[in-house]
Amino acid sequence: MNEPLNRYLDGEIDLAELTPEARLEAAAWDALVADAREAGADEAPVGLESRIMAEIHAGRRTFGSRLVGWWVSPHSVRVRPLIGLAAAAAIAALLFLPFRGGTPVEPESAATALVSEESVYVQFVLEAPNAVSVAVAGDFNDWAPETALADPDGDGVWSGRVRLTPGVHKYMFVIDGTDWITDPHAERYAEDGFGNRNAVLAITGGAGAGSLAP
Amino acid sequence: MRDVLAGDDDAFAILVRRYKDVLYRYAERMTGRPDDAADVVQQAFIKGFRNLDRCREPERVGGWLFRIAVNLCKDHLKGRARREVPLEAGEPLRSGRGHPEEGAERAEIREEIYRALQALSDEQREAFVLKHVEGWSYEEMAEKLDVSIPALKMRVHRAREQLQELLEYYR
Repeated sequence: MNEPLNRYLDGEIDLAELTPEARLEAAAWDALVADAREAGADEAPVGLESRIMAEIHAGRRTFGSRLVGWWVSPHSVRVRPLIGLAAAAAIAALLFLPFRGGTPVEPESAATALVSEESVYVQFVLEAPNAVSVAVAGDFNDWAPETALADPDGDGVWSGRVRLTPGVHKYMFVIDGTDWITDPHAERYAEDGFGNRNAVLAITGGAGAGSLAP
Repeated sequence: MRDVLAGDDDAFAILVRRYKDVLYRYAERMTGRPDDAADVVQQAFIKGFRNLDRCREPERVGGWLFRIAVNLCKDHLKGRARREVPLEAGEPLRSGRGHPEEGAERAEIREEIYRALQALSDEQREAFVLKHVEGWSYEEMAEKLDVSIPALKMRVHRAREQLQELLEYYR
């Protein structure tokens, strides 16, 4: 293979800098590289994610299981007699103290729960003329790209309604199950911590109907 | 990402969901076997999860996981080479002349390219896949593989020559 062609394929020179013969070869190589990208699997097999997460769950002991393990496993404890006596006295004092109950505190989540009973339908729209499928994934569906949008008239504009609770939601579109796309028309964006930007949608709850907040 | 770094399984599941396909695509091309690729990807995520505290740039966690997968692929292929007799590259995979037409032949062509990639040496395949399939620059490759740019260029150039030999219609 000649040097200019290698330099073209390495991205160092443009196609226009090649001779006409070399351009034909370059076109064949471009086709090969495009085919190489398509050769092989597109996505991980079904079930791999569950397998990975099952092993992660199995491989780690939760704080609760460690706590239970500590209580049910035998331990040798060395205590100085004087300290042991003091501890026993303290426990006895606690047992004999009169119980003073407090006013039950309303759980803080009650207000949130009330608000979360309201929900609104949000219309997601993405123009993706070359897509075979489009889904929306966000914090509202655990980032699973399974909430599909539809393009019934085949005009390349995909849309779908999703029921959301009031609050701030982050989401992305997923094209063909693999390409994660940030909504180009979102009002706001936030770094997702993985090198991408999430679109941000803020929904305020209203009396009977929700509204989108800018 | 804070939750992921804190070891939250559910937060890590989001990473698995997001990067499993890209890691698998690479591992499958490198190993040439779906089962081996799935094992490598599984190991990569588990290793990543156990070493999250070593991820220096959380905003580039995808690249960090990918690099783990690249290294695991290398280890896997070395282990496999010790256990198994390598296949010979043999005859050109396709004898027809001229560039193949678009259409039904396409899947067959891709299958041949896939087989041709498996006939390259591990280093050549790694360099070719990262350069041309994943679209990495030589600078990125040098940084992540800890190999000099001239050495990587040589590997890619040789991979192309080898592919040219194997895929006769590209000569």
